[in-house]
Amino acid sequence: MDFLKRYLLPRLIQYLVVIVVGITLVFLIPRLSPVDPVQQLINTIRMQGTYLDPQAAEKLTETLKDLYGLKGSLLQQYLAFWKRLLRGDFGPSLFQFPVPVVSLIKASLPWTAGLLTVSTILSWIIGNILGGLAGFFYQKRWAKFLENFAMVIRPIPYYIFSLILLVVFAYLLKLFPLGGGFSIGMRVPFSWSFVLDILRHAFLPALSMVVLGSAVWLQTMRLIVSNVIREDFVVYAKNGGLKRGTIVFKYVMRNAMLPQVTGLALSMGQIFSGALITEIVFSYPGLGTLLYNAINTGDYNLIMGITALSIIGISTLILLIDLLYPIFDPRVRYK
Amino acid sequence: MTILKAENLNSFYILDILGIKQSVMAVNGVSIEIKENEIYGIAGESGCGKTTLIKTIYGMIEPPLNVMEGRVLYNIDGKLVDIFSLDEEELRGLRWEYISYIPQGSMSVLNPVTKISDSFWDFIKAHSNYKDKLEVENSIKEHLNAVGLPLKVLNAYPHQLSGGMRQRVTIALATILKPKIIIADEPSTALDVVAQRAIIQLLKNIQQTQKNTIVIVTHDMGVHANISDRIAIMYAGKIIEEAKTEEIFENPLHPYTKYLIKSLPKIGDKSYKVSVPGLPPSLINPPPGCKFHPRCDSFKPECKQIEPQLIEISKEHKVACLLYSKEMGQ
Amino acid sequence: MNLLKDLLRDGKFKFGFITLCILLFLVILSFFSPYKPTMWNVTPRDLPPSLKHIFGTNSQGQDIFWQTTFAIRNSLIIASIAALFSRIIAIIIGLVAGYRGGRMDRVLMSINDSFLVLPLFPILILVSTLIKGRLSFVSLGLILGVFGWAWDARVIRSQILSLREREFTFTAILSGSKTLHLVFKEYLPFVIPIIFSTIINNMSWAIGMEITLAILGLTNLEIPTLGTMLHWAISYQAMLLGLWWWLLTPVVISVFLFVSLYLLSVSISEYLDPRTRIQRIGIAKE
Repeated sequence: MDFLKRYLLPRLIQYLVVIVVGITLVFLIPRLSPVDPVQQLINTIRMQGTYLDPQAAEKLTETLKDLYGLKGSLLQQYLAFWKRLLRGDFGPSLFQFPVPVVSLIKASLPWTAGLLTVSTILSWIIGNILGGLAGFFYQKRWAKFLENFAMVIRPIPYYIFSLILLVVFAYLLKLFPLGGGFSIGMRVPFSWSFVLDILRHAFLPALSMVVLGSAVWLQTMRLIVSNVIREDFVVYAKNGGLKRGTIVFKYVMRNAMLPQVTGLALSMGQIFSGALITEIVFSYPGLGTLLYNAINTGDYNLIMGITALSIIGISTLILLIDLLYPIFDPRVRYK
Repeated sequence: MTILKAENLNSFYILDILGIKQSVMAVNGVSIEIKENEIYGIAGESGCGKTTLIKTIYGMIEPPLNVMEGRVLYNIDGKLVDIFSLDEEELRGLRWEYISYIPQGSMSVLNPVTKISDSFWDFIKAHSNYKDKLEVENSIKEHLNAVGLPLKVLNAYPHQLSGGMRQRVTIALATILKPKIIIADEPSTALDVVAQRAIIQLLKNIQQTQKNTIVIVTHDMGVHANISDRIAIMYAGKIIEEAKTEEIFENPLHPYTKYLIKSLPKIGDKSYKVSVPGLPPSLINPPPGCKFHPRCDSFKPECKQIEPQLIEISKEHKVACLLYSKEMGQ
Repeated sequence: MNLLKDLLRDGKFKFGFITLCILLFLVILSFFSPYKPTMWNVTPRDLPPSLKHIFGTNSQGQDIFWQTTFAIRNSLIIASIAALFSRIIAIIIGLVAGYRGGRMDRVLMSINDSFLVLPLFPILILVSTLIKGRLSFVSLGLILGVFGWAWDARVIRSQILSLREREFTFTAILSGSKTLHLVFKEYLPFVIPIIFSTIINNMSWAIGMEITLAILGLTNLEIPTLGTMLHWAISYQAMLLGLWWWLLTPVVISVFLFVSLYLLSVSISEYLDPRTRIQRIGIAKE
């Protein structure tokens, strides 16, 4: 019970705060812009040649205002916004009218979820193990090589790295497809060849994310380990003549992992953003490409929907990771 | 009879500060001989090189620490073995079975994410091939009892124990494989007075039961008076006096030792206490000749030029001071 | 000067510094460009690199080399504005939260953590979609600045927290210093080094964001920046048409820019970190 109060409650509160702050931003930003989206839409319609008599125009404005949630005072709009959100209603996609935004997102979500989960877990594990070994055996040549490698890779933004991979492996070397989630014309039901096809398409995006992710985890783990090996209990273990394997894994890594778990939680927002960008480069049919198309077609509702759901989704993921932390650190479990 | 011997040890820290190389001469020509079944104390103020000496005889040599000269010999099965001639694996094997170590301030020497019982098993598994798990468990419980800890400590994590309890755990760990020599580095310094007494008593009991050797390093002369059989006084990287405890207290010869003994409070004694004037010398640029001469009140001009050697003045009483070597006609 | 010499000992800093200097040199060259950056068709199109056009020309009829000089300049300006602006916010929030403590601190840090954790990419897209094309690069810089302060604010706050407990604080208060005076005069010198090392990181992030947003077509595409160059190269299908120099130039320059900024930031923060300073006092074997 004490643990609940000490650990769980503050995190739940923070979780709710993040969501409220984020959703409020999503709410406020469009309303802060000097552009009136309704007027813009009507102007676009007019410019396309459709004739709108004043009455029809007014009615259209009203409907659009309703659709955009722009009716009433700011506070009224805010409350209405939350009401709709809690019902899971983000309105219809403006481009693919009247398909609700939520169903478009639902279709793309599994692709992003798959890519994100697999590559995050892989890169975290690989990065931590390599970083841990590089930190422990810091004088060996391969350790220094790894460090320099990570140092060069890490600052490269997702877009550029993915682009380089795309150009080299898909365009120049033609080893992998140029994009998409699966080849057109493939049979959808679960045949082996279908699964392989998906994997082929997913390989480069996943590679991009795993390499960039591992570089980050490698670096931070190496730094943490270089500090942990100076800790009293590691020196004591060495002096006690414990086997090296025991020291590396049970003493160093298990302790170095703790800040990495927290780090994972903190970086989820960035990793997610990176996943979206990677998807765009590879035209991978996840939320990223959906977002890209929404931008190009000016599908405002869709953009809002994706942003709002991303905020909620990422915050929840972070909460879950935070809740896993006590499993790793007994000092938090017991007072 | 000799369990550990150090011959002319010179251990320096070689530092490279912004391109300039400097050596900290922490252990400067030290030779000691430690016997079986005794408690050997090493005393001296902070920064005199005690910890470095311990590290050297235990074999914990890591850069920037370098052993420039000298040998450390362990008596293994009757033969004297130079530990620096052993490879890493052999040295690792000796640890805990032949010689173990109780660290200074056991606040954070235990793995925070594992239980105490895990720590015990880690040390045991690393060194012995046990056949019977139950037997080992019983042995662990026995040792916990011997140090005065309740059995439920095994299931606890280090942060749940108090400082005194953690110190007892490290003592139990150090004795579990019944090593021939245990090095205790300031075992009581980080504790309150009551716990101090208990720990010191505990160490005494262990030595009497297991009949092994304990090397106890502390600046607290009171502890030495209580527990040590022989004491070696260290100053600026050198042993300047070594004798049986009673000798040191009743008949201190070196001026520094005299100061040390005089500064100890005695019940009923209200006289003004004098401490050693001046500051400990730099180990990078030590004073020439006798390293104590800037602070010594028996200073003579020769002290600046000649470095006194550790010479046996009377039965088992060695001193490194020109006052006495002159008398010996050296 | 001694500081510079000291820093230059570190291989990482040396590489980063030299690369950055070369890039800055290119920026200076931009003031001598014979072509105006916003004009099209000032040179023949699609020429591969040659002596006359060192990096070749693109499909819009511009010399890529001179475009690049402007691109680096503008990208750096945007990044600097973003970094500066976010530092100011970070300092204010960090100082207030650190010094006041209590409820104010908790509320501020709660909001701060939200900014830290939120996926900024979709939010930035939301912002840019609305102001599409009307962004001058100053406003882009400001917008990026609004989102980049969270990490720094926390770091500054923890520094202030530790300073608050130090003796000189009590001395200052007991001798009658006013709060604001205390905070600015006494604490700021400690805070400046931290800011310096994170400023570079922030600039890197801002450039990256600018590139990503530009490629998606969300910024003012007429201003030459590294991002807009990439955008045009991609829209004109430079890759498929074999105009590799058009695509490669901004990519390579970006990579160098990022790597050098990163190396600088890492070496500076290592230099300032007292623990690694001791490590630098090195381990020499006789």
